[in-house]
Amino acid sequence: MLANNHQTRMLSNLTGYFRPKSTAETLALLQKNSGTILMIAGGTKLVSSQNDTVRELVDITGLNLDYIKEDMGVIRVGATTPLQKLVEAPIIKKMYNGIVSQAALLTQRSRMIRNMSTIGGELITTKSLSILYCVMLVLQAQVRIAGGEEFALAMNIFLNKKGVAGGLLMEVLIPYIRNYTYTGMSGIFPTQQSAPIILAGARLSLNKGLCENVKIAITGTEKVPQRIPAAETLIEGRRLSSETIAMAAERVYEAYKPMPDALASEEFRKEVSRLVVKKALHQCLERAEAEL
Amino acid sequence: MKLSFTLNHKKKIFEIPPNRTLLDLLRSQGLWSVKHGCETGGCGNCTVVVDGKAIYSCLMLAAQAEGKRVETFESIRELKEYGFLKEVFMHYGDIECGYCVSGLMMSTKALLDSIVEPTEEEIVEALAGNVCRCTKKPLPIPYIMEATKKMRGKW
Repeated sequence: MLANNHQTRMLSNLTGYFRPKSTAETLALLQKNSGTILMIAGGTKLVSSQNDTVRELVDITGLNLDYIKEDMGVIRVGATTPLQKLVEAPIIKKMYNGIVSQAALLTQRSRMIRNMSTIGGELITTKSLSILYCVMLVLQAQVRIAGGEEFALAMNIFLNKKGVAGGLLMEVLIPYIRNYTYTGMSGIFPTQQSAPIILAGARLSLNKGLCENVKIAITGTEKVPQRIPAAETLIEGRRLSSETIAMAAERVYEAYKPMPDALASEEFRKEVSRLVVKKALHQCLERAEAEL
Repeated sequence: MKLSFTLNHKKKIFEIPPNRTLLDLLRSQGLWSVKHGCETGGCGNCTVVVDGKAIYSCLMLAAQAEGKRVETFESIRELKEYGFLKEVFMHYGDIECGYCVSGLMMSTKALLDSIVEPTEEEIVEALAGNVCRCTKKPLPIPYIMEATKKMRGKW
């Protein structure tokens, strides 16, 4: 057992901790950015990061950004909403076959981390294997940054500005199309606790039996998950069937540019991309058949 | 920096450096049930309950606890109803060193505070973040459910 004077040495150069009560106050603090000031909400990644650069933290949990509400067909999720709330909230569980709840559950298997980790924090620290980001892509979610601007969630613009300089992420906006819209998600996980080697998400609507508004996204690409427009276009306007699904999966295989890492090689990811896309689209088909 | 929160039902004020974790602070107060484990959010040995939610105290800065209610195993150790649960882990959990028990108990407490009679699935999901390094055996779920009923006076 460790001696009682043991102290962990996280964030060893941290000297300042601020708790602003308003967006204006927060932005003013972030304006003094010298590269050593960061925001904290859940902090689960930051606290364990051994980051010796950060000197000041701005705690944004006092800005009342922990909410989930429906507003004229859009689900608005505040940036500091914990992932566990996405798992539990009835409206999130209900919408789009529960894909957002499931993504939150798969993103962090431990409830203790989900109780702290926030949707904003997860999206800002998105990497190549991010399940939540992949799902937000297929749902065409947008983000609202302090100042009232909205960016489409390619998020490259926001992420490339390295978060702080890009502004304060206030909320995530998920358009909620209720009728004849189906989702699917399929991944390959080496263990129950690990990140997926690869994961595909899909969403489509049916209009008189024909697909529209098709979105397919896949993880394991460089930087952040990507949509595959070539596969989406192939299904758009067609009936969803095993044949069209197979064709779309093949189109993903052709267009997909995976990256290698410790979990899998480029070749493996490319090879299994067909499988996960097929499974995701088949889920959409099964859900459509069950409802119609 | 000054920090104030409710610790085991008593309001406390501390003077701390901003980088101090909640884990370190609690242990400095003699609350040894809160264990150093992996310190990366992987084992659950440092689990405490903050505002009714189970969290890893190794991943939380003490500063983040400002104004909150923090509970450790010391707050429930002597309570009669939690005796049923302690018995379950001790007798049926195949516990060896005992290091993981306080974290398991706090995760269970947080679950039972929010769900009166959790299902087997809910118990498994809630305790998924607590790892027993010694045995790695499955949790004694039926006995936990039995203890839950006893705690509610339904056994």
